[in-house]
Order: sequence, then structure tokens, then C-alpha cells
Amino acid sequence: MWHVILRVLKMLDEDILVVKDLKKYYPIRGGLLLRIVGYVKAVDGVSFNVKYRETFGIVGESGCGKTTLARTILRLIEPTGGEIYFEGENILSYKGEKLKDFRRKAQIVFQNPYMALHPRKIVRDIVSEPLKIHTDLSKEDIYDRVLEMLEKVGLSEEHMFRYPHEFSGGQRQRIVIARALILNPKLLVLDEPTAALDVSVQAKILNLLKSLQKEFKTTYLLISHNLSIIDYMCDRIAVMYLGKFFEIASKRDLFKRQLHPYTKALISAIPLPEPDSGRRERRIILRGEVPSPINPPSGCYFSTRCPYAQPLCREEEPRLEEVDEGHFVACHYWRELEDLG
Amino acid sequence: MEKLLDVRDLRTYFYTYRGVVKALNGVYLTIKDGEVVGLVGETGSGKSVTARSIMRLIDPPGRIVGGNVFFEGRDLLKLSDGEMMKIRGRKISMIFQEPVIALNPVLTIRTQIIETIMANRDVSVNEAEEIALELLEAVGLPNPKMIMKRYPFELSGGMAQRVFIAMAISANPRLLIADEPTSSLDVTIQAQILDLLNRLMEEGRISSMLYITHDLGVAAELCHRIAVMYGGRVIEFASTEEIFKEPLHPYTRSLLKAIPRLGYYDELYTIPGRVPDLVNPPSGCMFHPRCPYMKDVCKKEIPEYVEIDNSHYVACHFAGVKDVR
Amino acid sequence: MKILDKWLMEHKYKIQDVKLMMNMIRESFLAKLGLTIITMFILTAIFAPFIATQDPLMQDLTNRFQPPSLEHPFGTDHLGRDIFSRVVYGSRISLMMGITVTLILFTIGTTLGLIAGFFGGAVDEIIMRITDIIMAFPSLILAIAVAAALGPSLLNTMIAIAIVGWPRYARLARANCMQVKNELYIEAARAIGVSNLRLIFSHIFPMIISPLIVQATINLGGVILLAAGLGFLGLGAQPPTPEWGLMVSEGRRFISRQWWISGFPGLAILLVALGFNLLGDALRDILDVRMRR
Repeated sequence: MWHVILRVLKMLDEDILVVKDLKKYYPIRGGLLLRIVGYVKAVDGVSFNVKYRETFGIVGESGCGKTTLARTILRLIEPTGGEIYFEGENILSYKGEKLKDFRRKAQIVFQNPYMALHPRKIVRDIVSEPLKIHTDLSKEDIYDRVLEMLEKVGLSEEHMFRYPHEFSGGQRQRIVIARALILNPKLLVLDEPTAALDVSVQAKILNLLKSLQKEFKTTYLLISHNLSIIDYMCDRIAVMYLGKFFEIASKRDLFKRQLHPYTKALISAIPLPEPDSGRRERRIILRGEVPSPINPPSGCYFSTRCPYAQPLCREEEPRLEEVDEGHFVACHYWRELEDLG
Repeated sequence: MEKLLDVRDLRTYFYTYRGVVKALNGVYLTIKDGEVVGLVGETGSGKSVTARSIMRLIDPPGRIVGGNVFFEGRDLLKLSDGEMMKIRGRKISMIFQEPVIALNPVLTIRTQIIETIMANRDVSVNEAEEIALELLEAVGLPNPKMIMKRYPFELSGGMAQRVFIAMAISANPRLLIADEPTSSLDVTIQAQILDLLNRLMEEGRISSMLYITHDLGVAAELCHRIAVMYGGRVIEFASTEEIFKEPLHPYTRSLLKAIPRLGYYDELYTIPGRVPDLVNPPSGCMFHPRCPYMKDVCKKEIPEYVEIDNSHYVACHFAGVKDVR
Repeated sequence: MKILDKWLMEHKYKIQDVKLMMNMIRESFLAKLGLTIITMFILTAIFAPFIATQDPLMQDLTNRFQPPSLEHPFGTDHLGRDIFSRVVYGSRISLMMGITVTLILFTIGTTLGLIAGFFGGAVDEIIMRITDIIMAFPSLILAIAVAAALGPSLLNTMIAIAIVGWPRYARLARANCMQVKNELYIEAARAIGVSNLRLIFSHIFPMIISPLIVQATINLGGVILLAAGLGFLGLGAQPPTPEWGLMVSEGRRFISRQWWISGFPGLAILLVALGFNLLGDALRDILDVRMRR
């Protein structure tokens, strides 16, 4: 009895996911003999921890590698280097049954609800598939569980016999969520879950995700380019750029006190539905384009666009360091920038 | 001040095998010289169709079936094809959402931009080339000569959009229609493009703009006035400030409440129900099945588009009813 | 919910599809023609004993070389046998060969193609090289070689055609598999923990079945044609079996004056091959529309 309580207490303070120096490089082949001429460094040394039952957000623009990161953490893509610990165990060594078991505990909701469901299967079969693979419940039990899950996401029994194309985007995303949560996974990765949806539908899905998280006590890893959604949903946030994390902080700290210039630019770039707020004048406009992940800049990856870049920034890559409790930043001059105000 | 653009009761229908899709069923819009008007709405509300109807770029099975589009005093819908062609690209030009796709993939930027310039202005090839270089610089591209040699797929989204903007302003149009030009771009790149558009307006290269977007934040920043569309109709049209501070139409209010905003963590307001079916729209007011204030009359009569306050137009039976916000 | 209701809902789309297919066929003259020919062919094969007027093997040397008449609608051959009855019974052979071989081709070809497409790498390379080799030869020549090597018989013909024919299915299956493999719903299935086997047969296969069926239908005609060709060359059925190709071959000597001996079996081959081609084309059109839905 005691050891159960102790274990639960430990869990609440522990990390469900620990990622250390994760890398995913894609080789580029060229020339006559198709030798490797370079690498696309999609994920280039990412480290972070996620606590039980929190919502951890990864925000970044297109090409920053966040989608690759999400898939690599779930081993849908095999990493090139680094370590991933889920519930204390190294999942990179998993094979066969253990890997299958991992899939039961860690699920994903994709960005595109229009393509995430098998077009030739009815909803009942789509949502029941995880049950069929991981449990040996009877057909009737499976039916009941599927029905229960569908009702939780706001659908009904008659929807079970329909095909995905009969549903709107928002409804399809609900089906995806139902499928992802039906086995009650400990970790749910959400890769831009509302990017393809309209504003009013987005609100419904976000509300649904929040309430389901309370009910199922799931840990969320939320990936998005939309800072407003990240702010709404997440407890802690990491800012990603060209395969690296530039800053990690709690939501409150990040919005009150951005330490990295990219984070500052990102937040100032969001147009808010508040006319006459003066944001436009205060906005930091970045120069140039995002560099190619094949040929990242020397030193700090942001140095080519940073309005405050110094010579050191082109020479030495800053490491991600904890500068305050739970607040990490990778910048040589974060102190000086903060003083600037 | 004279109205540059005055759209009245524009109707565009699409005749499909499923039935008649009433994509636009009463669009009212006015733009004055030097003004930026935003056209806001969700998918299926008819924003893009409005833009294309104004430019008379509606192909079968679509047809503009009614209304007027007065531009500089003349009804564009009554012009001949030839006359309309003279206006398109010269007096009214347009930029689109996915610039890389909208450009011709097999031609270099140089070819396309010179072609555009020469089609809309009476200049020689050499003159056009000079103008092109100047324009590319004006839109903030760092190395115009190199960009000219490139193909569209070699450009990033942001760069391609700048090229597109350069082409669109090459004839100094009086009205620029921007159809979600930054929706497919990253937020920092979007910031660059919005900054560019502002600058071009200040420099006088763009006179007036119709900016179409689903992002209320962008509309708030860029536009003087905003028109909100729902189910193919403009249901509210007012100054930006009034739209955000005193929205009169229930849909506008709902939309504003449904957006996640920085620092706001309560449950998001959700609009019940679904987007209306444009083939079989709801009777009376299109929004009535989802409206929190719905009464009987809303089911029976289509609300008229009327001016409630000074230049604040709404199409609602109960516009101006002070209710819980 | 009542069981019948559930079943109806679950299969609602399949029922709708069939109705749609019927409508589309009804609208296309060529499709109707193809379907008619095939139906007649199949019915003839099934009800051969009732349709044929005489014993196809029975010789009547007093009645040789009779031109087409009421008693012998297709005339008689050099041994006095009724050609009409022989053609009718021949349809059984052709149909049986066609269906059997096509089923084998479909199964082997699809499975190998799916495996090659799904796993890639060395497995893919090996299978593709084999298909390359087989496809490098003109099918008829290769079939002849195999049939000749195995010895002339109906069974060996079928084996020969099967060997020659599976690469095309494998290629088609592989190409489609590779395309479908990268779709999001497949990745989603993998994320759930679906095993490779289940992925291939439960997720990917249903998506590629349409083009394969079209291919199979068109191919059926080709198989029958090929079988007839081998029969013509004497590598297939042996006399006195009323196999159409063999019949054409037997009548070759008499073609200038007793054209009907080769003519009618030849016509049968032509019609059946045509019928399957038309039907296959129509199916392709129908399935295209369905996919676009």
C-alpha cells in the first residue's frame, strides 16, 4: 500500500519524458556515385524534460524541425543520435513487444484530419483498431468502448458506421482524438491539431482537448506555430529554430520575460485582435529568411537574422543553459539584452 | 470623399450537380481612396469568391447573377471583356495566398515580371527591366538581379510573395486586392510582409487595399474598416475600432470570443452548430440556427443590411440590442 | 440498434457503389456491349450441356466439311464434329483457364508487389530484378518456351501463362503500394502499433485493389488470348479437346474453302477478348469516378 502511494507521489514530481541531445539528420546524396554530400539537420541536439500531466509546448515556424521532433520522440522516425527516456526507460532499445507496448502508452494526433483516417474504413473500425491490437476484449466490449469514446468527443452512435469523407474537418479531428485516447495513453503528442481548422472549430477542439486531459490525466506535448494556442494550452514552452531549442520556460515566464531575441521577435510578430495597441510600431521585424537546414550558419544559428548579433555569435554556438529556475536560454548576450529592456 | 469601390448586393451562384451553391448572396462593400478595408470570415463564407467576382474572374459553373460593382463610378459588371481587361492588372490588381504556386513554374521571375509590366504599361523591354529591378528593390528583396534569374520554386514563400507584390503594383493600381497573402507564411515572415504593405501604402505605391483574411489580428492591425462575412453575405461593416469594441452582429461577437488570446485562459467560447450549407441555406437569417439571441422573426425573414450608426452597417433584426457581451 | 439496420448502414456505401456502377454501365454503350459479351460467355460456359446441340467429341465422317446450316449452325469440321457444340464446350475450358490463371496471377503478383513496395531495400531489388527479367521477354515467346519445356498440356499452359503474367500485377501493386505507404493514415496506423502484416493487408491492400481489379479484368481477355495462342501452337490442350486455339490450328489447313472450321472458334476468341477489354475499360472509368468522390 505504502509503496503505491510513494510511487504515485514520486511520479507527480517526476518526468514522464526525458530527451537528451536528440538528433535527426537526413543524408543528402549527390554526384555520380551518390555519395553523402551533406545532411539536412532537421533536429540538431534537442534536450528537455516533460513532467507528468503537464502540457509542454514546442513553438516554431515552418522548417524548424518540430514535426520531425514529434515523430522522432514516438519512434515513428528513428533518431540519428541522442537518448529518449519514457517513464524512466530508454525507448530506443525497445523492440517487438516492448515497442508495441510503448505505442499503447504514447499516442499522436496529427495536423491534417483530412488524411489521418483511412478512407475505406468506417469510424467504428478506425477507432476500435487500437483495442483490437492491444487488448483481447470481446466484440461487444469493443463496440461499447468505441461508443463511449465517441460520445466523449461529441459524436454519436450513428457516426460509427460512416466513412471519414462524410465528416467535416472538425469532426474528423475528433475521431482522430478518440482513436488516440481510447487506450488511455500516458503521453499524447499533438502536432498542430487545429492548423487545418477554422477559428470556431478550433475553439471546440481546444476545449475538448483540455477537458479530456483532465479526465484521462494525460500528459500533452503540443506542437504549434501559433503562439496564441500555445499560450492557451501549455504550462511550459520551448522555442525551436532550425533544429535547436533557443529557449525553454514556463508560460508565465516566457510571456513576461523573453530572454532570447528570436522569442522576442516571435511574440512581437503576432498580430493581436486589438486595434490601436501600438504593437505594430514596437514590432521587431527580422531581416532575411530562415537559413537552410542543410547549411546552417556558423556559430549561433540565429546570428544571420538577429538584430543584436555580435562577432562572438558568428563564432561560437551558445549552449542551452538554465539561467533561472526552469528558464533555459541559448544566447551569449541574454543578460545584456535584458538590461536593454 | 468619392467611393473608389462600391459593391452593392453582389450575388454569385455556382451551378453544380449538387444544386445551386449561393456562394455570394448579398455582398455590400465600399472602399474609399487611401483606405484599407478588411474582408473577414471563415472558410466558405465567400471571401475569395467576392474578390474574384470584383475582378470578374468567375468561371463556369459560377456566374455573377446580380448586383453592382462600381469602380471609379463605372459598374464593372456591365463592362465588356476588353474593357475589363484594361482594368485588371492596371487599376485593380490582386495578390494571392500561395505565391509560389500562383507563379508560372517554368518561367523565370524575369520573364514573368517583365511580361506583367509590359502588359500593363506602354514601355519597351529594356525599360521594363529597369522598372522590374526598381520594383524588386522597393519590395525589399536584397539582390534583385539574382532574383530575376530564379525560378519560382527556388524562392521561399516570403520572397515569392514579395515578387508577386512587385508585379501587382507595377502599374500603380488604385486598388490592390490581397486574398489571404500571408496565410501560408510563418508569423515572422508575415510580419515582414505586413510591414512591407504598410510601407508601400505610406510611399503611395498602393492607394487602397481590400485585404481578405480569416485572421482578426491581422485585420485589426492593417485595416481602417472591416467587413465580416457569413454564408455569402456581409453581415457587418464598420470601422476597425467599432468592430472590436462595439460589434453589433452576434456572429461577430461570437467570433471575437472564440479566438484564443494571449493571457486569456478560460474556456473558449464556441459557436454551436455548423457552417451553413450554401445549397440549402437556413430560412430567414443564415445565422439563426447558431445565434444565441434567435427569435421567431429570425427564422422567417432575411434581415436587411442597414446603416445603424454613423457608417456602421449590420444585417441583423436585433442589431444594437445591448446584451451580455 | 437492430442488426439489419446496422448491417445496412455498414454496407450502405458498398450498396450505393454497386448501384452507381450499374448506372454508369447502363450509360455507356461499350460497357454494355462488353458486359453482354462476357455474360453470354459465362452463361454459355455454365450451361454448355444445355446449349450445345451435339456431343462435341463425336465424329461423323460422313458429315465432314458441312458449311453452316440449321442443323450445324457453325458447320462441321474435318472429322464431322459439330463446331457449334465444340465452340460452346470450348468456352468452359477458356473460362476455367482464364479464371484460374487470373486468380493465381492476382494472388502471387499482388503479394510480391506489396512486399516489394512495402519493405523496399534488398527485397524490393530482388523482386524487381526478377520481374525485369521476365518482362524483358515478349510474353508469348516466353510462354511458348515454358510450355514447351513442361510438355504440352492444359495444365502446363496455365502454369506457363501464370509465370509470364505475374510481373505486371506485381509492378502495379508495388507502385500503388509505394504511393499509399506514405499517406498519413498509414503512418497513423503505425503510430497505433499496427503490425507490418496488418498494415499491408488491412490498410494498404484495400486502397490499391481498384486498379488491380481493372488490370485483372482486362488481363482475363489477354489470358484467354494467350491460352488460345498456345493451344494454336499445339502446346496446350491436345486433340480432341475442343479448345478454341487448338480448333483454329486444326482448321488452318482448310481455311481457303472451309473457313468456318477456324473462323468460328477464332471469332469466339476475338469476341471474348474484346468483351473483357471493354469491361475492363468501363471498370476503370467507374473506379476513377468513385475515387474522385
